[in-house]
Amino acid sequence: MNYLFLDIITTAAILFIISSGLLIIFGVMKVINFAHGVFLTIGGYSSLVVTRFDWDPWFSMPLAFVVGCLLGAFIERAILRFLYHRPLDAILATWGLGIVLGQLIIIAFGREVQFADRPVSGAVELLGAFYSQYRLLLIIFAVLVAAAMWLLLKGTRIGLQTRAVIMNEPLARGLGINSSRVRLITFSFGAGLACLAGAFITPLSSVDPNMGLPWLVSAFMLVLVSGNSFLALAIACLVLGGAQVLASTYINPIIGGLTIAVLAALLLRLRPKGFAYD
Amino acid sequence: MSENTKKSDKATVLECRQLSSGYDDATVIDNINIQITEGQVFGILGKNGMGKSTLLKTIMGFLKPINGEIYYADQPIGGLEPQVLARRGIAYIPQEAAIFQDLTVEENLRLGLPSDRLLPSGMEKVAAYFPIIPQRRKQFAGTLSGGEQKMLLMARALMSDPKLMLVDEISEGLQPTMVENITQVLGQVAAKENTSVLLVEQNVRLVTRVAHSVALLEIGRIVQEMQLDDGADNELALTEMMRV
Amino acid sequence: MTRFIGGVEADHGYLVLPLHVRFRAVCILTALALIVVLIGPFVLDPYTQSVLVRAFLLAVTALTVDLLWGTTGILTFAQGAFFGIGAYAAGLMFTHVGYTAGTVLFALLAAITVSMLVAAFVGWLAFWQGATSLYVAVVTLVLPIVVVQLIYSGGSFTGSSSGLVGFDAPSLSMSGWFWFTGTLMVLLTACAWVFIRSDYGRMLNAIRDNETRNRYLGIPTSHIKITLMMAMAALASMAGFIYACVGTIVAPEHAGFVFGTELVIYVALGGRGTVLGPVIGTIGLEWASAYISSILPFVWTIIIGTIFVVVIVIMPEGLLPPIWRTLSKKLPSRLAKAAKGKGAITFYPLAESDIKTFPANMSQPALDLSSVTKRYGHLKVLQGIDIAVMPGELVGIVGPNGAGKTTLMRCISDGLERSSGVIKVNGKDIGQKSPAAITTLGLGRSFQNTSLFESLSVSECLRLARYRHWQPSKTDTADRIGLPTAAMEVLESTGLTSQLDGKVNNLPHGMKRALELTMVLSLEPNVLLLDEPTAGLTKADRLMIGNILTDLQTRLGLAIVLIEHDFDFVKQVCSRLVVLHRGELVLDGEVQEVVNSDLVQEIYSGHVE
Repeated sequence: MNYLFLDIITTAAILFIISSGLLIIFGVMKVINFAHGVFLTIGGYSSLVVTRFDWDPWFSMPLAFVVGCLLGAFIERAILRFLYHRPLDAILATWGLGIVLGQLIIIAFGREVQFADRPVSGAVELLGAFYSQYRLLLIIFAVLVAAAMWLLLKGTRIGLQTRAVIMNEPLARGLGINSSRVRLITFSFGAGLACLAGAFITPLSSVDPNMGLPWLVSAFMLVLVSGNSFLALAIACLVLGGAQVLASTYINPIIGGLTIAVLAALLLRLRPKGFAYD
Repeated sequence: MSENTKKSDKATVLECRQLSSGYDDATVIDNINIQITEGQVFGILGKNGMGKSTLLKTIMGFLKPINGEIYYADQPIGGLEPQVLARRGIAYIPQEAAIFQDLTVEENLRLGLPSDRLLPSGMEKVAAYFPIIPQRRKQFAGTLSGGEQKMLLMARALMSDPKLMLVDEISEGLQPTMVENITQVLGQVAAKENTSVLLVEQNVRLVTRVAHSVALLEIGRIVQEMQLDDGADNELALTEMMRV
Repeated sequence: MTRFIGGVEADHGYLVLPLHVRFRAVCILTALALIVVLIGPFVLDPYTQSVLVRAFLLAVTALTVDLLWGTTGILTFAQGAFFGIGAYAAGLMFTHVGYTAGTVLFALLAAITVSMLVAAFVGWLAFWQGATSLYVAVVTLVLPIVVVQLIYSGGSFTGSSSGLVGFDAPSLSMSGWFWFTGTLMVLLTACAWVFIRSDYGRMLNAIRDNETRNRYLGIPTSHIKITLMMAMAALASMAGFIYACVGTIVAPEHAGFVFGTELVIYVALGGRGTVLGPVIGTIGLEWASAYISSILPFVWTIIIGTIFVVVIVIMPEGLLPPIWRTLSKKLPSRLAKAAKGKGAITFYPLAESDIKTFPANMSQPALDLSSVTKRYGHLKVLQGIDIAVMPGELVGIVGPNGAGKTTLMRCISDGLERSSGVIKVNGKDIGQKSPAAITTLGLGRSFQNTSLFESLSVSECLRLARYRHWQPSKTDTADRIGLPTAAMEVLESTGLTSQLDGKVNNLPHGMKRALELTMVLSLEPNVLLLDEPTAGLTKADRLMIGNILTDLQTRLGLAIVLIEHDFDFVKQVCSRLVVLHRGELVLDGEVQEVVNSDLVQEIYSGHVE
């Protein structure tokens, strides 16, 4: 029972970390970033690079974030800014980009499954159960990500400008806010966050060129049911992630793997706002 | 402007020359020529669908001119982005969806400023015109009444010390007392701060009270222009003009 | 007196030919393609043949993506899953039951039935009113993932991740398969080519361009999309079925999401919405990748991915249209002229007996609202509105901006809009009905912002407006279209008749308003909702619209509700006025009485009354 509880909480934490980069991009740009899966993968390979160079495993996280930001900034300027009026084409272009980046990774690192060093390993006793220390750490990471987002959006001027662009872009521009700059920063930050998320989840499994793909659809669905709200995203991660854990435990893992996608699609059909309130 | 305009030595703030604009290929406004000097309030009257909002959106850079030029402070600005123009001192007050309902009053005001450091001085300025706004600073803008929302709009524009204000039907749906209040503020702003105002309205009384010159817009063209002289019954004259 | 109004259809970058000419052109091209298919096995080595057999089947599947996405605007990743369903129907049947003529037939039927049922469910999930195209794309993304997971979980029954191999299946020589699949592909392409140029195909284009407006023309868009999705699912699963028979192998990749996106990539590269582009694109890319990917395995994918991104960003119409334009410039002028063709179209007034306007029941209100309320969160936009409009009444709704006038219109024309209250059109409760269903009750609504189909010509817009009464052909384009007399009159008196071939985009504003009105009248409504029909019009135009409205009211007994700002106009035409203020109905009465009331004087103080 305690295992189950911890599984639900840590799964929700992982999902939250994975989806937050996508959410911020979707919120500001109304664009679903299909390259999100590859960004996660790049985060994983950042960890691998750190392992190869024998650096401290913790260093993989800032490295992944910086790599993601730079890559995101480049993609936004080179491709996405032409596609804001064509959101469906933006899906396709980011997907094509994902294919290209995925192949580049294969050329650079090979197809095989590889392992990166973990910053923390072993289990601790919690609530009478032995539980993976790193999974517990992910809860803290999720809280840190959420807190950072909250501080950035509510506490800084660029955060306020970002919220203004989300709510009403023409009005924001009329007030002198450079929405093109806001988009650049947002996409770059969202990509950084996605790569960081890749580095976060790498210690849970292994590194391979397709490691991001299974997360992609779950992340989309969670973002779609959350509207623009990080709070709604947190709730969605808890509820749908919880359902996934329960289905995997009591039915079978394959059904579990489908839970988020199917439940979210049905939820949106019945309640288009999903978990978003207001 | 036409020859009968009184020559003034004041600097020209905004000038549209043979300006045409619209959506895609459809021309909505056609061959507009206006000139606004420092501290001048210029009223544009016209019924719905005559192209009033299109004119303001074009000046503000939301729409690209199809033809003609726009000069602001003697610089051509046709084709510049709205955010650039806002930074150069043009404040635009749109008719619809003009405030961020889900942000607080203070956040709305901050967004009108180039930097948060200007907030305290801006607040002082706003308090002079609309004492109620600073009292509501922590409240969500969406919870304000219709009239208070219009005050917030004016306040946000005023905080940025604009050289030119573009005001789109601010009196629509307001109580007469509130229209009175806003009329007074507009007049003071033009007189004291030397701000030019381009006022687009259907409300003849408001325009009569504050405007120095008026143009009548009909189906995208300026069909008549007049100077408002003190003493004359401008309201009646304008009402007649609009009826034609 | 019979009047005919004729014009030529606008050219849309593809051939617009009268049916017999088009039919002959298609026949010649099809015959040529069939000859190429016939010769193929004699000049191609078996490996190339097998590559092309696969390419033909994928081309058929890509064709279904093109009809859904390019033609109708539904970005779908699900066609791969339907292909997989077909393939697995064959694989499972032949592996577990065996191969006989009976099982072939049964498996094929099962493949088609299952995929159509799944498509119907996906359609139900995806095409509710108000679903964004993004949501639709994501739903079609979920399907292949679900299908693949089900295959994985099937254990030895479905062969899990390694799939099913080596079952007995209908066997032909490679040349035989080449001829079979090649012929199938050519014939289906020809059918699709004719289909997208038919009236029905134009309607699908219109749904892609402005779905909402179609709903208000009484076209049940969701229903049409679901039907199309089911038909395309059947085709894709048939292709999958044949694919499994050819190779006697099925694997989860054949149902997967990556395969689904590959199809979309082929369509985008070839040229979405062109039919030929996706087919040629698929065959070309499959053939090229069969050779190049073995030489340059990684680089090939990068090249394709890069080209894809570049095409999407720089030339979203794909590769075929620009090539076609270049070629057509080099065509002999005689051919080019024939290709432009004369799709002359004639409008004629319908006989009274053909007009299906609801018989006006003079004793009951044509439009009846009781306590209609609309809330956004805590904000009440409309509160307890009661209005009854009798046939032959012309009611004006006035009030300042933000009073809720347009919201009221929206509540009347869309059953999902209001928060509470009852609305009856011709005595029938609109319940939660869609705009299309309410239109069939006899309601016609015009819009404040002329929301027309900007890229269509005037005559095409009028065609669309008639689809409610007149089933569009799936092969042909009609050259004679009947319009109700009222619509004909507006058409003639406004001078729109001389503009039939012009793009709506280029019409002057007054003409757009007139077209909007003509389209609404073409629906043969007996309740008209008009949102600011005179905004932006000259005095002369206003007068003309006014006369038309009074005529409709008195002669045809239509119930008309109009929103207006222009008091002069309202005084001229309306028989009754309703005043809305802050979401409440504050006055309802005779025109003079309302205009002179203190309340209206206050609301409009300072305005020219």
